[in-house]
Amino acid sequence: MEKMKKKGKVIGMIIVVALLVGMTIVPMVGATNISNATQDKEGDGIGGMEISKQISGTSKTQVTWTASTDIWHPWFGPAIKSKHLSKSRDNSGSPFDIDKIGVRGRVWQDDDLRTDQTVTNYNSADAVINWQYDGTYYGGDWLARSNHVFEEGTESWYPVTEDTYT
Amino acid sequence: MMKHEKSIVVLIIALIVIGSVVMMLLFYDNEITPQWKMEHNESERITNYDINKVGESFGIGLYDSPIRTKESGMGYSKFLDPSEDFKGHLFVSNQMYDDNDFLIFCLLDYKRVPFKFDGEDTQVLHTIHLEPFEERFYSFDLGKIEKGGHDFEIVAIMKPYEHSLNRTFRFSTDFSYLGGMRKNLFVGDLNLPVINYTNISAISCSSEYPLNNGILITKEPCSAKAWLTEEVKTGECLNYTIIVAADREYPVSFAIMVLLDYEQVPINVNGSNSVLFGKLEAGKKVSIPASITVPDDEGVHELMVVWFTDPYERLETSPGVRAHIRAGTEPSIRVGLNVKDFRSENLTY
Repeated sequence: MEKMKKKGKVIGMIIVVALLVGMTIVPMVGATNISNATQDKEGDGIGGMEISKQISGTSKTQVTWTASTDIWHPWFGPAIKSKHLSKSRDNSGSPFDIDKIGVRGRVWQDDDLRTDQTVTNYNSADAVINWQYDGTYYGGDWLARSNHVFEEGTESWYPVTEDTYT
Repeated sequence: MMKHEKSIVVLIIALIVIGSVVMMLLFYDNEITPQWKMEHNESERITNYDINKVGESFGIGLYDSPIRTKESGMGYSKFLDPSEDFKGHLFVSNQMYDDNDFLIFCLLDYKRVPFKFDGEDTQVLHTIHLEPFEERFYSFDLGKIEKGGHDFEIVAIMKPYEHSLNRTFRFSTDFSYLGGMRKNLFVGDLNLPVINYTNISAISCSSEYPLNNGILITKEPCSAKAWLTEEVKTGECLNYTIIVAADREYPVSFAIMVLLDYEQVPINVNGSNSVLFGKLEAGKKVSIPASITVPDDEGVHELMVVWFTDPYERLETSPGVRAHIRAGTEPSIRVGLNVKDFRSENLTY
């Protein structure tokens, strides 16, 4: 009986520890990207050095344009997923419509083109491509690239972003 | 409730909680961090980007006067009197950590034309150099334009003199390092030309072919394999394929031009067409045979094809009101041709 009680206490402690660990991990994953993770998940490997420079201009509107590409191997579901994203937001983080916003996304497996998609929206704040590869063989080097389009008034920007998965 | 029953209930609840946590962990849809960010404030722009993930960040604009305001912007339609010179100001902003060279050229009806640029003599190609985050206005003047409606486009090519055969660099040129601004020019005439589509013998690719609303140049018809570099002999005829595709959901009309070392060359060695006009139904994908004569100079030469969608479409529905068309300009991969003179090698040995 005493042994059973001890076992119960041990199991209870394991459960409490597992719960605490689990509750700690979720916010970590949600809040940031882990550049040195052993398994490439969505958002991983973005890190890197950021640079900034203030540019004098005449824009009267407070707006932020962002662009990104991500490719990863999900733990469950399809073999490979990619996301190609162009966004326009105001100071409060709300969508800010611009004349034209778009993204072209291409994904290469080694030297082979796997997908090529374009989304172009007018008077909109978002352009997103979500792609997934359901093939069984997903070895080799994956390269996802995006050509982003931001056009508003006389401003035209076409940054190119990319991400890899090996 | 008995003690061991309580334990079982606690155990079940704990398992449910752990299960939920694990499921959240596995299926959490993480918001990806921006790799490129441009903030427009009242008096400045701030650009941030991840140098490992961003290959290109430059902007261009066309203005009537060298002031960056909406009022001085050129607009998408330009109306000229036949006696008037077509001139303006090109704004180029190198929003990058590195300094960069840009090659500037002008297309009138999809053919390169000579023009005066930044006080230099009239010529077809002009090179500029911008320091990190430098931005500048450059004046341009094409002189008098023939009466009629025209498509005009000014094109900037980044890193034109980068000749590395490195795989990463070659991939980085795909749909990149090129910016173009198109205008409809109305010179004493409010009508745009009617397109005379080129009669081409093309091979249809399967509907499963991955290219969509774009261009790819390859060695073989309907191949999805990237063509990055090629070892070639001086003076030989090099055959390749230009693959073009409409979007799955809408048709496309297009113009394509071939640039060899940024000189416009015929689509085929034996042909005279230096620009090809075509149109495709939604979902249609075709391979167009193409060829060039390899240059006589040894070393690395640059081959690329540029794809223009919606040529001669009106870019404004009325003055100042932009038409919702997909008119765009996109380059293929810049193929590095490593030219060797095998004749001289034979003589040496």
